[in-house]
Amino acid sequence: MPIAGIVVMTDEREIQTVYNRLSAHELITTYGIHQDNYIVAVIETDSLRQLEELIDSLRNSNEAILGIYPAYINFEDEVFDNSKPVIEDVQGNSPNTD
Amino acid sequence: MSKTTKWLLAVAGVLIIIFSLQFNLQADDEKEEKHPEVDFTQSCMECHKEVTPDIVRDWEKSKHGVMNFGCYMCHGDGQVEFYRKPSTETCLSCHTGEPVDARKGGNLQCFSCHNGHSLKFHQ
Amino acid sequence: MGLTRREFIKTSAAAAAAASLGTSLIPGAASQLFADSTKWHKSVCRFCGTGCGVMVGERDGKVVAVKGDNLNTINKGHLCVKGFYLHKIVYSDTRLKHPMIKKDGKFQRVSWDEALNFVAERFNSIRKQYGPDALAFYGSGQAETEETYMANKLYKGCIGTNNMEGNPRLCMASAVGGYLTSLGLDEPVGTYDDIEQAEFFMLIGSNTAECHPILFERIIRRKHQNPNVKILIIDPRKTPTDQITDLHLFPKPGYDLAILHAMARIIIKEGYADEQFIKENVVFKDNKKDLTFEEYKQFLEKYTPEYAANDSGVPAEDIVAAARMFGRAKTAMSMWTMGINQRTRGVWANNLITNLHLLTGKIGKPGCDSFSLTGQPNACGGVREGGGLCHLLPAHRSVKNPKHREEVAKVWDVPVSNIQPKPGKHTIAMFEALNKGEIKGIFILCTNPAQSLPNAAKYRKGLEEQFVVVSESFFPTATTKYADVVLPAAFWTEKEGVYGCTERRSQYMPKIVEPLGEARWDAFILRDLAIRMGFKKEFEKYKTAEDIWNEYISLTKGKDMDLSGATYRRLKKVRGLRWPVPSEDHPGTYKRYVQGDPLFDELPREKKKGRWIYFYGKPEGKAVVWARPDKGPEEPTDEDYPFALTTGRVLEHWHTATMTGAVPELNRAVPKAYVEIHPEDAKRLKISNKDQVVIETRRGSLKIEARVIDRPEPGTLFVPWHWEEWMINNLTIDAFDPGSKEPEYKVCAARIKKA
Repeated sequence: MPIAGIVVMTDEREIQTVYNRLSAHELITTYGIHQDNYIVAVIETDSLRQLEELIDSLRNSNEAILGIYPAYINFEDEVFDNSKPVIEDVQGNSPNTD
Repeated sequence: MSKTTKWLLAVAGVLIIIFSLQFNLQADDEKEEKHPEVDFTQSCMECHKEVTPDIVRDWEKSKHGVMNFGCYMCHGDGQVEFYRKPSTETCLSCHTGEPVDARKGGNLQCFSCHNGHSLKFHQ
Repeated sequence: MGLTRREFIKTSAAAAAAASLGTSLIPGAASQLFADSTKWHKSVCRFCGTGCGVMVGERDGKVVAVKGDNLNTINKGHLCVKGFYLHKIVYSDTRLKHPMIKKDGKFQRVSWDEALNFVAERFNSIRKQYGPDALAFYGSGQAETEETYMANKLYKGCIGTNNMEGNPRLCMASAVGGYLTSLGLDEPVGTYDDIEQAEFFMLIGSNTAECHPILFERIIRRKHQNPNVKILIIDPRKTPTDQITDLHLFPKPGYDLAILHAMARIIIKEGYADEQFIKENVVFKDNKKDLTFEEYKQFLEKYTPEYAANDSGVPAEDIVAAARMFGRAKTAMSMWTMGINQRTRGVWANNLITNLHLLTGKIGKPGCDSFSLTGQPNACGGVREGGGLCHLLPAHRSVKNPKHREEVAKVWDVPVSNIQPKPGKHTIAMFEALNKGEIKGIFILCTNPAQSLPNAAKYRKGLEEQFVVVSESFFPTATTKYADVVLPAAFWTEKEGVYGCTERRSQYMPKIVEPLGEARWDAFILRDLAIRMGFKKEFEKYKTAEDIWNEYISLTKGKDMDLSGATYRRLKKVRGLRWPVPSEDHPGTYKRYVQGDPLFDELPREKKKGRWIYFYGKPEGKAVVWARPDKGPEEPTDEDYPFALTTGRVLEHWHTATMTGAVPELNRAVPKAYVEIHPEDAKRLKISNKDQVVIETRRGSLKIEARVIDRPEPGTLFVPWHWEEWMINNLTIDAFDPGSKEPEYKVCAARIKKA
C-alpha cells in the first residue's frame, strides 16, 4: 500500500474550499494550510497506479489547484514484509519495485 | 526507465522548483519583514490602538490579551527584530504544558488553526 | 503512545512534504532552537518570587533559549512575558565583565587579585580604626541562599557586625512581622495548591495580573472552571487584575486598616465566625495586653461600615458585601504584596488580614490561607530563611537569642563572642549611618539601592562619601556610579545554587554555561575576600556550592524550616521541595501546623489535646487575633499636596530594570515611565493625555508624561518605578514601619501641574 506525502499548491482565494474537499476524500489526510497557498496532505492507495491516477485526477479536477508535488513515497508494503523496520524516503535508496 | 526512477526524477524536479519558489518567497518576505518607521518612544499598543483597532480589540478579548502578552511577544520589538508572520517556535516557549497531539487534526503549525490575535480556531 | 507503523509512515510522509516547503508539521521541529543539538536544563526563573520552573536551552556552551518547565507544578510549562526573554539577558551588552577600581573618578580595569586585595585592605583598615560596626553589607532577595549564607558568616561571624541587611527589608519585612506576630513563625501555612481548592480570593494590595502573572493565570483558570468562585479586590487602583473581579473596593491609599476591622465586625455580627475554632486555637491581644473575645468585640464596635467608609472613601455597602463574601465562602484565600507590606503600618495590615482567617477558621484547611506573595525569587529562601537581615541568623534564628548564637557559631567554627547580641542597623538606618559617616565601608551585592531606596536622593551623600563595593552582573546601574570598586558577578545559569520561593519551596538551579568575561560566583567572591581579610581558616573549606548548602541545611535540622532532606542530590532531580522536609525520604509539606506537617505530627498528644491545628510557634499553639488601631499614612494629603502618590510595577519590567531593560521587546512594550491620573483630575488641572507634567512632593520633583486614565481613583496618582531616567523614588517617603522597618513606598502626599 503506497503512502505519498504531497504538497498541493492552490489559489490563495480558494484554498479553504480545496482544503475541505481534500479532507473529505477517503484516501487523503490533510495536514494543514501553509504559507497561505500550500496544502500538505498524505495519500494512501492500494497501488502505485492508483496513486498516479488519483494525483492526475486531482490535478485536473479543480482550477484552483495549481500544482501537486509529491515529496515522499513509501511503498515498502509492496516489497517487504511489514515486520521489517525499513522506512524509505525519496532521497534514500528506495527499493526497486521492478 | 523504471517507475521508481521516474518518481525519483519527478520528485527531484519538484523539489528544485519548490526550493527556488521558496527563495522567491523569502525574498518577498524580506521586503515585508520591516516595520514602518515609527516613534520608538511609544509602545506598540499606543500606536496600534489607532492604526489596527480591530486587531487590538480581538487581542484584548483573547487569553493572551487577558495575560497581557503584547504584540512584541510574537512580532518582535519592531526595531531589532520584526516578524510580520510569527513562527510557531515562539509559542513553544510557553506552550510546553499541553503538548499538541501530532495526529489530531493533522495541522500543526499553531497559526494554521489558531487566529494569531483572537487565538480562536479557524472554521 | 500508540502510534502504529502505518500512522508513523503517514506522519513521516506529511512531514517530508511540509519540509519541502521549508515548514514543519511538528511544532518547532524545523527550528534550530528546539532541535536535538540543544540541551535542556531544569532551572528556576530569575524574576519574581513565584518560582516558576524554566528549561534552559544550551548549545555550544551558550544559553540559546528558555521554555517553561511543564513538569514544574507551579507554572506547568507556562511563562510570563519576562521569563520568556531570560536568555536574552544573559548576553546583554550591559553585562559587567571585568573588575574595576575607580581611580581619579574613572573606572579602570584591574585584575581580580588587585580588586580583592584593595577591598580587603580598605575593609580591614576601616575595621581596625573604627571597629566592626563601621562596615556593612547590603544584599538581595535575588542572591542565592549560598551567597547570602557566605555574607552572613563573613559579617556576623567573622567581622563581628550585625550591619548585614538585604533588600527584602524593603518588600517582605512587614509580612515577616505579620506572620511572626499572628501565627508565631514566618512564612505561609499553605501553598499554591490551595488556589485550585479556594472558593474565594481576597487580593489586597496586589496587582496580581502584572506582578505575579502565573499565579493570576492559575486564579483565572480556577474561576473559569468553577464560576462560583468569587474574587474580591481591595486596592486603590484599577489594574489588569480587575478583569476577573466580582467586587473591587477602592480605598484611599493607606486607609484600608479600618475596612479590615469593619469586615471582621460584620463577620462576627452576622454569624460567620467559627466559634469552636476561635475557642480552641485563638487568643486576642491589643498592643499592650491580652483581651477576651468579648473585649475584642468591644474594640471592633467603633469600626462600623460607615466609619470605615468615611475613612477610606469606600461605600459602606461594599464593605458589608465584601465581609459577606468572605464569611459565606466555604474556603477563602487572601493574597497580598507591596500594597500591604510597604506601609508604616505594614505589620498591622498583615495582622488584620490574618485576623479574618482566624475568626472564620479559614486557615490550615485545603483552599484556605492567609498567603503573602513574594516579590523576589529568593527573598524567602536566602534572606528570610537564611537570616540575611540585621536581627536574624540562619534558619529562623535571632541574634538576640544566646542559644541561637551558640548553635550558629559552632557550625561556623567562630567564637560565639564574635556574634553580637544586638541587632545591627536596618536598611534605612544603615544608609543614614553611611550619610553620617558612622558606616565607612559597604559591600552591596546584587541590588541597586541608589534607585530603589525611598527618598533616594537623600541617601546618595553616603554612597558618594564612603567606600562602596558593588558586586553586580550589570554595568552601569544607578548604584555602580557611586562605587569605588565594581566586581563582575556571575549571572543566572552561570552559577549553581538554590532559590526558595513564596510557597516554602526550595529549588535547585544548575550552572549551565561559564560566566561571561571574568565574572565570578558571588559566594566565591565573598569567600576569597574573607580569606584575604584574614579569615582563611573559616572560609577555605568551601570548595563547591554543595559544601555551602550542606552546612546551611545542617543548621536547619530540627527547626520549623527543616531542609535537611533537601540535599543537592535530591533537589537536582525534583521540582523543588517544600519545607519542612526533615529527611531525604520525606516528600515535603503541603500545610504547616496540621496533620502531615512533621512538626505537628511529632507533638506529644497531651500538648495537642485532640486539636487538628496547633500553631507551635506560639504559646499553647494558639494564634493571635490582633486589635490594632487603624492608622492612616505617615504623610496624609493636605491643601499643599492634595494628591496621594502611589508607586508600583508593570508586567513587562522588573524592579530597577537592569535585567528587563536589556530586552528590546520589553523596552518596546513599555518604553518609559508615566503618571496615571484620573480624567476628572486631569480635566480640572487642564492636563491632557501625553502632556508633560511635574509631580512634586516634599522631597523632590519629577517631570514625566501624563497618562489620563481611569485606573487610579480621583485624588490618586500612580507612577511605575522601573526607570532611572524617571526616578520616582526621589519623591517617595522614607518613613518606615516601626516594627518591620519597611518604608512606606505606597503612599505619600504630592501635587501635580502641567510642565
